[in-house]
Amino acid sequence: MIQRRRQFLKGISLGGASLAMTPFVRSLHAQASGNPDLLPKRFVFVVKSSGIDKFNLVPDGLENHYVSPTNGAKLGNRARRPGPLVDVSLKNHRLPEKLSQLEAFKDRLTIIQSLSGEGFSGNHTSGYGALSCHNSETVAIAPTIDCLLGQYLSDGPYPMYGMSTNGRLLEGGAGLSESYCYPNISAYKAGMPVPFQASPRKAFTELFGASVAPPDQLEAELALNGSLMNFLAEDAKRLEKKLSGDDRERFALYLESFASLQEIEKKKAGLADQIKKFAPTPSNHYDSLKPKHRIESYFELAGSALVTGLTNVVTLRPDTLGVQYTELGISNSVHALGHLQENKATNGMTGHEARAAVEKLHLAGIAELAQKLDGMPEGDGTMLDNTLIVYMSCAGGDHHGGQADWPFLLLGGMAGKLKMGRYLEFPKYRESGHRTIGNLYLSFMHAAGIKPPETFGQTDSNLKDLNLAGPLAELMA
Amino acid sequence: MNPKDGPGRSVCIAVGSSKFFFLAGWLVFLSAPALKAAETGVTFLENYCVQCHGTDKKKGKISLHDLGGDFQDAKTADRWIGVLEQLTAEDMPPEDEKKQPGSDERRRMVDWIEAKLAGANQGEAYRKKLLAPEYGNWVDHEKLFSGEIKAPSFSPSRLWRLSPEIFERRGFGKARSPFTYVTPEKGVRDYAAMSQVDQSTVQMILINAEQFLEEREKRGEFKALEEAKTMPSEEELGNLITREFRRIVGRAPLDDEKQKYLQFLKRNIDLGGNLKGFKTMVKALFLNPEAIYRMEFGLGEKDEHGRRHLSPTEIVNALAYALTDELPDRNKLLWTAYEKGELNNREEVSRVVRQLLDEQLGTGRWSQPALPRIMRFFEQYFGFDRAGDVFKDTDRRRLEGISQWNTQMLIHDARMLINHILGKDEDVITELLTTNKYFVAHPGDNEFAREFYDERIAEVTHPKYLEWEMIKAKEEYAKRKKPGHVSPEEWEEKRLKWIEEKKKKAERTLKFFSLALEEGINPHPDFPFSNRSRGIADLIYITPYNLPQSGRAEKQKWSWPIEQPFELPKEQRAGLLTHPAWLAAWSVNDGNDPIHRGIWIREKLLAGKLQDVPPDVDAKVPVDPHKTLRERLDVLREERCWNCHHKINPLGETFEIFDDWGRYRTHHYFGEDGKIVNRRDGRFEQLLKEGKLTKRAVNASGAIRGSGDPAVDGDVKDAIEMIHRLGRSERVRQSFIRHLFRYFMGRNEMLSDSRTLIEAEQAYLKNNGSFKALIVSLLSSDSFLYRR
Repeated sequence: MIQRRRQFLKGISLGGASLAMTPFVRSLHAQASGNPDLLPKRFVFVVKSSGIDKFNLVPDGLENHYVSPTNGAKLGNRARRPGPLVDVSLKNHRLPEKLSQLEAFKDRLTIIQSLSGEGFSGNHTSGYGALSCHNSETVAIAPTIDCLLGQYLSDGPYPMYGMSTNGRLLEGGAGLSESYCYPNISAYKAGMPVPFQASPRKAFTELFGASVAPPDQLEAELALNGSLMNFLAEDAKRLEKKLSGDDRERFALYLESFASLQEIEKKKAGLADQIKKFAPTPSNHYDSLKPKHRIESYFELAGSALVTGLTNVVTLRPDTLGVQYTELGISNSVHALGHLQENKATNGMTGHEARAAVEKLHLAGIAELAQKLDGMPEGDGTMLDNTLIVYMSCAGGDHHGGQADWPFLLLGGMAGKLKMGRYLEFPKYRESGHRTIGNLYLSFMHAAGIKPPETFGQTDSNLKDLNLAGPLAELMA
Repeated sequence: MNPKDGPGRSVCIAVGSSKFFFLAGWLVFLSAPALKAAETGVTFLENYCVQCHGTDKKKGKISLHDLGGDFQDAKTADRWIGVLEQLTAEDMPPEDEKKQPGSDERRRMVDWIEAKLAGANQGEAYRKKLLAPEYGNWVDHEKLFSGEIKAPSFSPSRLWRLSPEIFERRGFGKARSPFTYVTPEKGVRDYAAMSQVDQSTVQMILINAEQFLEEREKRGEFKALEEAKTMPSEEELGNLITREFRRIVGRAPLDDEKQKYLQFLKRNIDLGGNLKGFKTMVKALFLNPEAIYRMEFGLGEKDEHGRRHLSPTEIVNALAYALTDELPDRNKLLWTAYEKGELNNREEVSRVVRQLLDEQLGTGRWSQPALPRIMRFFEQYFGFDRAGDVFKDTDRRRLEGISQWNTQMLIHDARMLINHILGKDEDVITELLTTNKYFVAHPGDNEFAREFYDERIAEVTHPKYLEWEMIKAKEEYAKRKKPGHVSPEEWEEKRLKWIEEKKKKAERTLKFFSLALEEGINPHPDFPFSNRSRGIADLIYITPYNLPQSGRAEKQKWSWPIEQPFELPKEQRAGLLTHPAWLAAWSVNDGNDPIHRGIWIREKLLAGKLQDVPPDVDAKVPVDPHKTLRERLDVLREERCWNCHHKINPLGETFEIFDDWGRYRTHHYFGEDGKIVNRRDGRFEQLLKEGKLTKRAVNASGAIRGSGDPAVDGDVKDAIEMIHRLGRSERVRQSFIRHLFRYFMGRNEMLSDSRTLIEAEQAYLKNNGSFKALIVSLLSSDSFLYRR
């Protein structure tokens, strides 16, 4: 069956030799060659606010180092009980209840606990620091891992695409924005943060507009865009003639950007058939102000963007601290839930239960996305085998600071480069064998085929006696 | 349009070659002796270099015996650049080498290499590197202030991308600045030559434009346009263009610009209809070069030196952006002068700048001063506002007796001190560096502080205080709206709880105010956030000043001075460099940072030159819990490191009389195991009492060497002695002026700026050390007003 598909694909790609090397075609070439290393690799970062609880991430049958050994109560931030590295297969352990939706993907799931990112501080969040490993909550001072991966992996018009409920973390009200915003998560480089689209409707229009717009409207849009770029280029050229030396050199960057922006439009036009084929059907959920609908929409759009080849990296921000999950019967904000602990939320759940319910809502989206990608054949497997979904928070601790035990869930695969189906728990902060989130990101780079630096981001001076270089050996296949 | 701009001239006209003139500025002063020395360039190497870098010895794996004079050869030119860097930084020949070139001989050699490089069109990368703020000091200090340079000053004609601060004041709704700095965080940020606009900036600008349009569309601003069945008349379209042009570009369009946009708008309406056509035009305005760049080409008259004066329009823009982040018409005084045609020459500009400073410096809200760029200079120069950027471990805070690490308050205190010194405007540089009079937990305005304090005391000590507080609390709660999911019973329960808490708080305030007053202590009045004051709640954060802290729920131990600044012990504090905000900003996660403090003194106060850190340097200080940081830094005294570090450590190590929280200290403590004890909590007190700690006096000795001012060179006991010596130094004054020059001009000095700098120094001295006089001089200088 697999062999048949490869022959079939070989035929298609030869027949379509006149096509430009779109991501889709590149994928076909890779499949035809049978070399999984050539298959496109994708990443989805799902970065929630307010931390991910650690104590309910431990599979059955393993000692839980995040609760008190005497009364089972949840321990606070930075309180992992001492103990050696835990590196076990998930095969013989039932997933914790919070992760039950991922049971079907257990062999492609890896849970990682107690990596640290101390020093990347902030108010309820590490901001850019969570993905760039720099102490930079609100100002981008270095590229973030999602952008680095996107710039390397994506052939499509967008190196990476971000969607977020809001730009500000601690906003009031329902906490859902309706246009581009800056959630302080991703940056291409110092001073160049990535804007995230908050509105699913607008994201749909931007990514898949070509699938629904009448041809004359599309034509008008393209014509207007062309008119704008030409006008600007002409206008700028007039000024350019009057400049010289260094000014002219710097001005050239501005001038050239019009051509490259048109290039993006061209790339999109090159994907028109793919876009039509894989575009989701827009639903009224795209305009809903319910967090659940919005999260579902983000995941749906993300999946389609990846399948279409519009980008190879998507970063999703499913909530901020002001969001209220009314569909769970909760009128407390995510921020308020973070303070409840054993106290009751408005739906009668304890703070811990309510936080778990919110995480489950995100995990449902992840499970759905995984299923979608798993249904798309690619190489000898499926798209999911070449896509890594990373579930994490911009805050390392539970709600408030404390980045000593930063939990991560990885789902999918990187063409066999990463060991999946594992539970990995690193030794406590400062103890021998302890590793950092920078090491995890180096693992991503290795797996994606990027030649990585020795260390990623700022290193922790408190850990100068530990080995902070290289990827996580326990994660690499 | 100012009549002096001439008819039909827009500010976007440029002529001339800035690169050519930059080189001219670089080379124009190569005098005859320098060129004569050209013949002896290789001889210089033979005299001073090849003994260690020749066939026999190759110190640092570098040999120069075979370095010929063929500058056309790129490899040879690169090797000469290496020599040039060593000579400019005065790192070679090494300090302990007996045979040294005289300073004139060294300078002539530097000139010779630079001339040769320029003549052979080599060293482009090196030249560009020197445009960055880190290399500002590489322009010869002695030459700049010697008076030997008679050439007229100017700035290169240029494009200067708007700063993020300017963008944020433009009022484009939720738009985030697409402009960011690429200059290093530690120093002057806004450099014309270092500002660029690339594809990602353009994309962000387009997103901003779309958001701006969307917000307005939601408000119904474009309804008429959308509903109109036909294209509006040319007059209507023209009015639209003028309105949007003003709003986005910041001025009215000239006739030809209006025509150009009209044609563009009509074409777009044809393509996509009224609304889409209009939106496309607005996007174009956002990307109009003038909405992105400041343009300073010199549209005024040309003089006999080939320099062109800025036109009044250019001047009013340049002044507005030098002192504020706003368009010029937002400052009434400045705009009136422009409209009256009073910005034509040096005298007129001096008068307006002087008036602006006299009337507006120190005014405005605490959060938004009228001339925000003045305080920003001090922040970028001293870097004290970065205090909060240095991560300090929570565990350390607790152990080391820092109840609250409130860097924002420390920064506020430093700002108040600067404002006060600027207000007095006498001997400003010395005062900033040496005063031991500080502000702590104070709004800065003594009149307001006294007024607020008296009212607060009267209020709290009034027999009806508690009663009033209860009434206030009830009224405040009554204004709250009950959320739907809360039952009336729960709401009432919450209300009672709230009132109870307010009651307890009021009782606590009354108790601690009374206790303080009984003991003759001024209670801190708890300033709220208002136009006149930043919110200052209590004295919990003041430990870094070696003052006894107290929160609102405890007895106050220190009598808060109502009138400030007040004196701190002069053997402990001397100006901003011993301010906890500065000390924290120039520290690291787990301790002091003598290296960067030393670099700061060398570069910012002494206009010293330091070479780039060699790529193979392993910048790790060895860990040894038995040794003080100073002792651990001894490894840097090895020859290879000391070649650069001798310029740094003897300055930076003098600050060891402070810990990295900014607390003054005289001793280090060691436990019975010989390990250093940093904790200062109750356990520390107990150990001390039990005689389980030994102590050693802090060694903060250091030295000022090679400062360029023999009067200050020599050993020092600690930072206090060093700062007092530096505080009155001519070299330090000149270095400060050079940095201020860079801040206002947005570039490094050229030798041709010599006159500007000397005049600025003279203005400062003649006016008893007036900072205002310094600004007036710089902003009316030829370097500011002329382009070439």
